[in-house]
Amino acid sequence: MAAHSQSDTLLPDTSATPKASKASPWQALRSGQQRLIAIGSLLSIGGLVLLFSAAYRSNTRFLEWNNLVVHTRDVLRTLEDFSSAMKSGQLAAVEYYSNGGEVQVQALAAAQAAGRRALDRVRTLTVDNPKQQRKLEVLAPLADQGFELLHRVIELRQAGKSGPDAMKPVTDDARKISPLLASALADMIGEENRLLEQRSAEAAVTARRTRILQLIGGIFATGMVVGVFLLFLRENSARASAETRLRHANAQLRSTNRELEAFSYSVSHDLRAPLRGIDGFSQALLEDHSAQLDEQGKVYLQRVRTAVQRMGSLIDDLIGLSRIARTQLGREAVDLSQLARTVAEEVRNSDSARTAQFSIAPDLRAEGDPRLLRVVFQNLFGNSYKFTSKRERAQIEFGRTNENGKSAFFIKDNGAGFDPEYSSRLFGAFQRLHAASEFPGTGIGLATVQRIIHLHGGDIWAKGEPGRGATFFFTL
Amino acid sequence: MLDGTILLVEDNPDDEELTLRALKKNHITNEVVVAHDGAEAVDYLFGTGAFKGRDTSKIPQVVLLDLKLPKIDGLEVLRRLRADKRTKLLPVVILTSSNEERDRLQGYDLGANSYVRKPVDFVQFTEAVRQLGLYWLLLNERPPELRGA
Repeated sequence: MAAHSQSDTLLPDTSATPKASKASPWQALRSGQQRLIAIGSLLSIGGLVLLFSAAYRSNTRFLEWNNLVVHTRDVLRTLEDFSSAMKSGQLAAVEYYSNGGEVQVQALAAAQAAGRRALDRVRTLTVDNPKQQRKLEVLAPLADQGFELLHRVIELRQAGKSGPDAMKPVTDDARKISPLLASALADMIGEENRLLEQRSAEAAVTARRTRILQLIGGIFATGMVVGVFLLFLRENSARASAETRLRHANAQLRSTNRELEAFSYSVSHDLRAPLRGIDGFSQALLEDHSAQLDEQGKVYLQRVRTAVQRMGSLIDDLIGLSRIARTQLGREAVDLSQLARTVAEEVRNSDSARTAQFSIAPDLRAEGDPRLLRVVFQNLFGNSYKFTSKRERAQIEFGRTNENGKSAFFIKDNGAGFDPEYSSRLFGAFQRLHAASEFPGTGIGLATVQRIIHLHGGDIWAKGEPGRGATFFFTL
Repeated sequence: MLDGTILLVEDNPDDEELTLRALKKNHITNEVVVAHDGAEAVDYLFGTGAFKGRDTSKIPQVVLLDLKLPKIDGLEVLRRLRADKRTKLLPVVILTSSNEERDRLQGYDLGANSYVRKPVDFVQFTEAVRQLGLYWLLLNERPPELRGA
């Protein structure tokens, strides 16, 4: 239990090393609040667009009505022009009849022309209004008849005829036409006035609607800007506090790391010193006092020494493992095939009495920390070499393969293998699946390898059968 | 003047005994002075404290220096030796349990001549002491200043 808790302190679990996540902006919106903000923003923008397009349409309509008002006023003014042309024509005819004078004849002609022009203009202006066009069809002939009467007055004077008798037929005709002409004109003016009133009212309504829409839009837009600003402020303060927390956590982590370092330092230094004492004095006993010891006693002392030295290598391996946990991972392109060949050579040289065939696939590369990856190969090749020691023709292979749809590197041997039932325990510190008498080892190698692979953000797993070799797969 | 002594700076009595035994087994008969902490080592070399009045012109042939020491630690002892012109070139071998890269780097940085990690296995330890003795007491040519008189 004590040893277990100690190893917990010594070896922080790095299997939970956060892998660099590539979250899309949409995945980032998964958090409820952010989604709410996104939806709110979209709705606000949509609302604003609707408001402004409504205001724009309302304004367009107002301008249309306004144009119609101006147009109607134009028609009214032109009708007045006609009316005054008629009056000046009358004036000119009466004046000529009383006092003569060529000027009056010309004035009548000019008045008639002005009257015609005015009616032509009214015709053009009201081309879109069939009602007024029909009324105009009534007014125009009456106007012609009116002017014709005035011409007849002038002709009377030119013929030298005067007096009530001579004037009577003209006066009779005038009495008939005049009211008709007046009423036709009044009819048209009345219609235009009605239109003017209606159109002015419409223009006023649309003007008011436009103003209201613009006001609402303005308020809405201001609200949005204020809202965004407030959100920005809140986000900013949230980020600031998150940063503070992160800094705090970081400082804590650094201090934990320092403690850990101090701890492993004293483990490496202080735990080894007594071991040296035990080993040294056991050896001294064997050397100086062997006469007082029987054979069994010597064997026991030798076993003390073996146990102590084993403890020494356990401590060393543990220190190595904890050092890896503290390692700053460097990443560069690594020629794994080259690295594998170098390590295979080292492993082969460690026991020149043995022969083992290494086959290494060429040109396998990966991104990683070359120093740590070397440790991986040292451990995996070392294991393979160790567990094939009882084979006549040891074969160890390194290559790349596809496992469950993902590309993985593998190291395969034809050695002692392992019971797949225990494969999950392979990578635990101090876990051994073989008796020390069968194959020596501290049980930390694979834990170290797993730690390194996890540091790289990769995975490691193994397949094996007792007596049929083992294959270790890893990704980086 | 070199007096052929070995200064062993070691606080652990077991390690002290084992080191002396290893020296003896390798027939290294030079006189061994043992300092049990960093302060004692500095006092011995500079003739201060308990060693006031010691003839400091007599300096050891080699210093075997542990790193983790009471009072003044090994690296600090080394720093002081290198700062003093009398001991600036004195051969110092760091003999320690620590295998920390940081200690090794700092040790060499401060001017250690060797860095030896004490093995657990006493047979290996004896062999390491043998080689140290062979090298620093016999083979190594001293700098002229220290050969002195």
